[in-house]
Amino acid sequence: MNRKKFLYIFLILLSVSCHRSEIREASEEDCFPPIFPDLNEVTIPPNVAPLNFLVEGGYEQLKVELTGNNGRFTQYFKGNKTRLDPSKWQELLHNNSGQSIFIRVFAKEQKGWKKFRPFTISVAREPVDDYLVYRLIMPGFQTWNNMGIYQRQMSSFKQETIADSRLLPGTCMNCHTFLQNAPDNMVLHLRENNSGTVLRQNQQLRKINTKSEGTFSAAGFPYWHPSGKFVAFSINKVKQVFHSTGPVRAHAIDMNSDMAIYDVEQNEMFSSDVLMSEQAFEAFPCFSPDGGTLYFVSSKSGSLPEDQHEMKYSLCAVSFDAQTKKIGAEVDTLISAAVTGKSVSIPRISPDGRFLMVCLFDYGNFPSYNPESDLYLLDLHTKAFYPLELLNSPDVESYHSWSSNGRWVVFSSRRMDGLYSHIYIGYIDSDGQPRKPFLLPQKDAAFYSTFLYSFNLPEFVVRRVDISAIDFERTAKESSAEQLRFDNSH
Amino acid sequence: MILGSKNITSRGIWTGSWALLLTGGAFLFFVLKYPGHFYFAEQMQLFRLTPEHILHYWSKPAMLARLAGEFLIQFYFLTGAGPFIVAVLLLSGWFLIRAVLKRFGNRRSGVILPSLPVAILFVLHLDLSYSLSATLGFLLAVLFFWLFSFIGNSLVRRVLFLFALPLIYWLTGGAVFVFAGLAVLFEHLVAKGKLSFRLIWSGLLAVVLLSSLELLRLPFRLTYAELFLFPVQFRIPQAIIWILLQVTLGVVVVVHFFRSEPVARGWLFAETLLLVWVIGAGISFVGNFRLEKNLAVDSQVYFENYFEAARLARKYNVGNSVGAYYYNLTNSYLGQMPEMFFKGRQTGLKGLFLPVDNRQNYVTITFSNEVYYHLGDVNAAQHSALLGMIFSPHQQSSRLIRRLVQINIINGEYAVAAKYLRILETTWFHRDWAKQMSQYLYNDSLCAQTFWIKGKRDQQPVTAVLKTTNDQEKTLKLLLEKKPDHEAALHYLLCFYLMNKNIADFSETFFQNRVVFKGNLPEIYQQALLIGYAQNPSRYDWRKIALSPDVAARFKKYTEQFEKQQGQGEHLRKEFENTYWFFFHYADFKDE
Repeated sequence: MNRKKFLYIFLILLSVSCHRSEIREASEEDCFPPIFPDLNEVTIPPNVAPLNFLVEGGYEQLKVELTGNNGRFTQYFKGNKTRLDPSKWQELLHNNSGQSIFIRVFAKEQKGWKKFRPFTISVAREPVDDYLVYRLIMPGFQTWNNMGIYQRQMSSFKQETIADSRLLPGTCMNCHTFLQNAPDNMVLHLRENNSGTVLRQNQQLRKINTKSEGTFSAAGFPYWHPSGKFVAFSINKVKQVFHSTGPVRAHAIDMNSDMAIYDVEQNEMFSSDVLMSEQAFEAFPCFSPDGGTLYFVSSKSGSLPEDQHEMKYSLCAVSFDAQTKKIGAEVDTLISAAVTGKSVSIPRISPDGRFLMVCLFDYGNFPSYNPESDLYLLDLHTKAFYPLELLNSPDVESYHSWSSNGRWVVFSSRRMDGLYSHIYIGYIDSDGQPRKPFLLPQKDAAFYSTFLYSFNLPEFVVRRVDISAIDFERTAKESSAEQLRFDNSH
Repeated sequence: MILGSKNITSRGIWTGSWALLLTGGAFLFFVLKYPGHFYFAEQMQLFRLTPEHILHYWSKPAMLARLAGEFLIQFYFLTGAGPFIVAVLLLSGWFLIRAVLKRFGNRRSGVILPSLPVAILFVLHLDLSYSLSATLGFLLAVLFFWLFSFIGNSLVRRVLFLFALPLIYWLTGGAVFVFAGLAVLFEHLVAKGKLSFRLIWSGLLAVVLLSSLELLRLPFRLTYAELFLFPVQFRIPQAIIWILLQVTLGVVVVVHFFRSEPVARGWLFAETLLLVWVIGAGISFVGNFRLEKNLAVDSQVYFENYFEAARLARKYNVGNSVGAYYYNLTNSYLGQMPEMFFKGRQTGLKGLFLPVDNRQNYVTITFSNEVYYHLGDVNAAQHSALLGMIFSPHQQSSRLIRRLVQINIINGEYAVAAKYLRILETTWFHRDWAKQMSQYLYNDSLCAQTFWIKGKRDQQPVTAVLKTTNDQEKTLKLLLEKKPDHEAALHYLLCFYLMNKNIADFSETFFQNRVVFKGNLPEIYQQALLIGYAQNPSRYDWRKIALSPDVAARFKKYTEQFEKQQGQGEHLRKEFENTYWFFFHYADFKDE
C-alpha cells in the first residue's frame, strides 16, 4: 500500500516538474495576451468578484500568475478560460488595495507554451457598494416578453431575482430607484399587466397609481429626494420608431413630457409651471444631495417624430424647498443645447454634490440607441464640462449611476457588439478624472459571448434588497393601487 | 400445457399486433398529416450541448423531463424523426401502463384499457404548444411509481412515497400528481393495513405534496397555475386534457382492479368505443389542420424549397391571413405574384404583411420576418425576428437565430452575427450551417462575391427615415427608391394599394414604374387601371397601357351588369368573383 502511495506521489511530482520545465522553456511573446474582456490597466475595487478572462485562440492550458507587492498566487486552468480562486483573489485584492497587480499569462498550444507580457490591474482603496441591481431584457425594441430585475453581489457571482416575468407575466418592469443607494427606500415601476408604481418604505410595499387627472400618463424615471419624503418623476409619452436603414435599429421618441414631485406621506403629486411648461418638454429629474436643487433636462416642444432631430435637451436646475414644497420659478440652464448643439440626458449627481454625470448625444432624450452617446461630467464647482474619455467608446453609453462613496460609476454600453448592452464599472477620482472601466465580471469568462439578454438600468445598493420575489408578486398582483391626488395649488 | 402455450402465443401475437398498430398508426398519422408541427417545434427551441445549457434545466421543475424532451426535439430537424419519437414514446407509455396495471392485480389488462391514457397523450400532441417534455414527465412519473411499487416493506414504501414527492416534482414537474395519485390508489387498493392509518397517510401525502410545491414556488418562481401544471401550459384545451389524462389513468387503474376475468364483451366494446371516440374527438377538436397546412408551407420556405412551398400554398389556399401571406410570398418568390393574386384567397393587408406586435401569437410573429427578408428590408426583418424570438416559448429559436445571423452578415454587423454563430456551433443540427456562415465574418470581399449577401445589400434602402413597425408602404417605397427594378417590391406595393382600394396611388406607382412591365401587364393590374381611368380619365396618358381587348370587353360587361343589378354583388359573384372589380366593390375583411 505504501509503495503504491509513493508511486502516485512520484508520478504527480514528475508530471509537475515536466510541466514546469516546459513552461520555463515557454517562448516569449512581446505583446499582451489577447484576452476577453480587456483588463489591461483597468481600475477595480478591492471587493469585486474575480475578473475571469479567456485568452483568444485555441489554447489547451493556461497558467496565470497574479503578483502584487503584498502577495501573489498562481493558478493553472484547462482550456483557454480562467476561473480564479475567489478566496485567493479576495485576499490578494485586500492586501494590495491602493496598489497594482501584475498578471502574467502563460498559454499552451500544440507547439508548446507561450509567455505573454504581464498586464496590470490597479486596485483602488475605495470599495464598491455590495450589490448591483439591474434589469435583464432581450433587445426587441418595441415590446417585451421576458424580463426581470435582479441583484448581483459584487464580491461574488451570486444573482438573485427581485421581480421577473415568470411571476408577473405580461408586466414590464423598470425604473428601479433607491434613495442614496440604500435598499430601504425603493421605487419600481410596472406597466401593462399589474400596472402601477411599487414603493418600498419602512419594509412595507405599496402600489401607487401615479396617473391622475393632473397628468397625461403614469409617472416614470423617478429620483428620490434625500429626505425620503419626495420622489421626483417625469411623465412621458414614449413612442418607438425604427430606422429604415443603417446600424441604428430603433429609436425611442419622447412625444411629450412633464415633471412632477410625489409627496410620499401625503400620497399627493404636485408640480409647477416650470416643470409642466406648454412650450417645453421636461424629463429625467435628479435631486442634489442637499435636496435644495432639482436638476432635469429640457427641450423646446416640437412636432414629433418629424422634428426629432431638432429635439435637443439642455441641462437645467430649479430650486426646491422641502419644507414648503415650493418649486422655484427661475430655471437655471447649466448646459445649453444651443451652445453644445447636442442633447443632454440622464443627469446623475455624485453623492458629494460636486459632479453631475450626463449622456451627451445628437438629439432626443433617450440615448440608448444613439451610437454617438457618450458620458460627460459637469464639475459644479468649476463649471468645467468634459467627456469621460476613458469610459466612452464609439458605441452607445447610456444609463449610469454612482456608488454611495462617489468613487465608482456604473453604466451600460453597447460597445461589445452594438446590439446588446452590458454593464461597465469605472473609477472616478476626487478631481473627477476617470480611469479605465471593467466589464461586470462573470464566473464563466465566455458568458457574454452567448448571452442573449441586455443589462440595463444598473444601480448600486449598499445592502442586499431583502424583498422576496413572491412578496413583490403579491404586492403587484393582489393589492389594488392607491390612487394619488394631484395638487393643483402649486 | 400445449393449449396454454397456444393461448400465450396467440395473446402475444395480438398484443404485438396492437403495439404495432398503435405505434405505426400514430407514426403514419403524424408523418403524413402533421409533419409541419414537428419541424416548427424544433425551430422554436435551441438545444445546446454545453454544460451551462444542461445545468440551466436544474433551476426549474421537470428538470429531467425537460432535459430529455428538449434533447429529443432537436432530432425533429430530420424528416420523420419527430413522428417516430412521439410514436415510440406512446408505445412506451402503453407498455408502462400495462406494467403498472399488473401491480394492481396480476390479471390481464387487455390491450384497449391501457390504450385510453395513451390516446389522450396522442391528442395532446396535436396541440402545437404542448411540449414533448410533458409526455416524458408523465412517463417518468409512471415509471417511478412502478419502481417504488416493488418495495415490499409497506412502511418503508409509504415513507419513501412521501419523501420522494419533491424530488419527483423536480424531475417530472406537474406529473408528480400522477405519481402521487397512483401511490394513493396502490396503498388503498393493493396494500393491506388499517383503513384509518391509510387515510392518515393519504392526508399526509397531500400535505407534503402541496407544501413542497408551495416551498418550491419561490426558488422556481412559478405562478400557481404553472406550479401545478409545469411544463404543461395553463391554456385551454391543453390544461383540461392534461387533467383528464391523469383522471383517466386513475379510472383505468380502478376499473382494472375491480373487474373480473374474463372481461365481459360489453366492457371490451365500451372500451373500444371510448378509445375510438377519444382519438376521433381529439383529432376533430384539438387537431389544427389549417395551421398544419400553413406550417407545411412554412417548413418548405424555411428549407428554401420555394417551388414546393408555392405548390403547397396554391394547393391548400388556406383562407386566413397566414395562408394568404404565404400564398403571396411564395408566388413572389417565383415572380408570379400579380398573375396569381386573385386566384388565391386574399384576406386584406395582413395577407401581405403579418402584423408584428404583442397582440399576435409567437407563431405569426415568427413567420412575419420572411417577407421583409425576401424584399430586402433587413432592418424590418431583424425587428420581426427579434420579436419572434422574444415571444417564442423558450426565448431561443434556432430558426430565428439563423435568420439573425444572415441579417447581421448582410448589415456587416459581424460581432452580433458571431455571437449567434457561437450559439449555433454548440448544437448538433445547426453547427455545420454555422461553420459555413462563419467564413463571411469580417470578410467583406467574400461577402461582396456571395450572391445572397450582395443581392440583399444592393436592395437595402439608402434613405434613412424613421417609420413605425407596420409602416409597410414606406418600406416598399424606400426599397423602390433604392432599386427601381426591384420587381418583388414593386408588386408588393401595387398589391398593397389594391388591397387598400387605393387606385390613385396604384395608378401613380404604376405609371412611375411602367417601364418594368415591358408590355406584359398582369390582368389584375389592367383591371385596376380601368377603374383608375374611370375615376380620373385625364390624369395619365391611359393609351400607353397595354390593355388586352378581352379585359376591356369584360370590364364593359361588368359595368353593364353592375348597373343592371343596381350594385347587387351576389348576382355578379359567379362571373366576376376573381376580378379586381368585384373585390373593389364588395370585399370587406373582418379581423380574424
